[in-house]
Amino acid sequence: METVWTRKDLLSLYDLSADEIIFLLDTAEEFKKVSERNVKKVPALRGKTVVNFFVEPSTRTRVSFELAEQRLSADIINVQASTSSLKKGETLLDTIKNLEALQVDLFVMRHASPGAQYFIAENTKCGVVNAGDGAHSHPTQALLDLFTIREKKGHIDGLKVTILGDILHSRVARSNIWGLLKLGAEVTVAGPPTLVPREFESIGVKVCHNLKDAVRDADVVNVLRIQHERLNASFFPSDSEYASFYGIKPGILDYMKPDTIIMHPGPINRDVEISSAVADGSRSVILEQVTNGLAVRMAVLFLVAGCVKK
Amino acid sequence: MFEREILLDHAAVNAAIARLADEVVGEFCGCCKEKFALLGIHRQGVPLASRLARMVAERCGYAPEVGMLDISMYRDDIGMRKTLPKINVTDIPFDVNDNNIVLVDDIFSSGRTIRAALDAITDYGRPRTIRLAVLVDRHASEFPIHPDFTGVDMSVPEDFKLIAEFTPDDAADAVYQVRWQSDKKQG
Repeated sequence: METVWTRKDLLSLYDLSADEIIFLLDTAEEFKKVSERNVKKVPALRGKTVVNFFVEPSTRTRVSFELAEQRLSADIINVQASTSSLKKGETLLDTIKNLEALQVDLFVMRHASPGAQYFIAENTKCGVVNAGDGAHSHPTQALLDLFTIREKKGHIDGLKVTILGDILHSRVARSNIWGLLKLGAEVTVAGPPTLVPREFESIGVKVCHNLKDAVRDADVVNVLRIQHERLNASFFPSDSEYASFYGIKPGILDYMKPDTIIMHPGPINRDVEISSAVADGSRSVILEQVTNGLAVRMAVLFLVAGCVKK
Repeated sequence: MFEREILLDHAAVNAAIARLADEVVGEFCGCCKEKFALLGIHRQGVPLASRLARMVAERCGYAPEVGMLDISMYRDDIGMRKTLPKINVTDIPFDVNDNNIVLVDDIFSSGRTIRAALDAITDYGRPRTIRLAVLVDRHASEFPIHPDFTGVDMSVPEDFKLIAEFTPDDAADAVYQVRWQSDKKQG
């Protein structure tokens, strides 16, 4: 069977069909095995150059991408906005064009402005992988969440998934919602009304402001980080107040089904959105998400690189 | 759509696999009684390896372990193909280290698939020996790589592709030739 994948860019799960998402997840399963071998490296991207271009700070996503690239034998350049010519007034497109003139093949890009990667993808022959654009999209995070859910539950179709926390500012939430709905899951978004407006119902998810109601029937609870850096207004009175109303604590587990899994994209604010006892407990799959992120990013880079024609 | 012309029917395929089994048994079971394992290369090398293992067992009573290998991550043509191949499951249920491995593939043409398979297998360990068994050798190697065990030798014009098909019940196995629709050659 030939691939259904023909894209040189991965920009958002919103653009992908269910078949394309499933193909990506299937491909990632084989790449996961590479990291479990003694020789944790394949020559799939030998001779290709990947630029990790992060115009917004990132540690875990950048490290995960960089390791994925190394395990695929790609050559790597890391560019960070704080030390790039963007600081000297060069436009984003000029920076990209200059890098392209060095015969690079792929850009892995994070940017604070939603849609920045779409603009770049239209203006370069290189492949572009979105590593997060503002509050819009973070497709590889959603793919690793889907991969982890499928691995744990065996399927995604028909599952009830609750995404809890700051939905309003979260690219992780949006990307998860698109992916989960396309694969046939039922999605509930939950949290305080200031961070989970009713408008989300228009994209086909349930909105719930009561924590116990939100988790009662869930097969998966995906707890999002309170993003203090994006909360420039008073969306809730205090961290402790948030923890008491919406934090996932051992007592809340009693309201869940016994096999509900708890996810978190990291980094964790311990004892704010999730207690240490739950984050480190038996239902938590948080570190497996990190492991799976590497496999998913290897798959994405492999497929996208295969479609770059220069 | 181009017509498929049958070159080997069920009986001829069966005879070719039997010849392969005889050669493999002659090398490993006949004199030195060494253990060995079969490793089928996706896609058609996988069912062929299972068939070959059965025939080996019928001949000498030794049932070699059988694994499957996908070489997509080891190809040398990323970005040069019109479509990417699907990555199939790699499952090697035996220790590669110090083992005698017989790679199994359906059609041997340019040798590029086998070049990739050699890279892949040595990432899993350090075999004692690696041998190559193919159903059909079309004598078009572009690398200094050649089969050790061959079912059938066959000269086919360069603009024809060979396709082997194995059915689960063995009843309709066959090898066909089809004219290429593009200028690419068999790998």
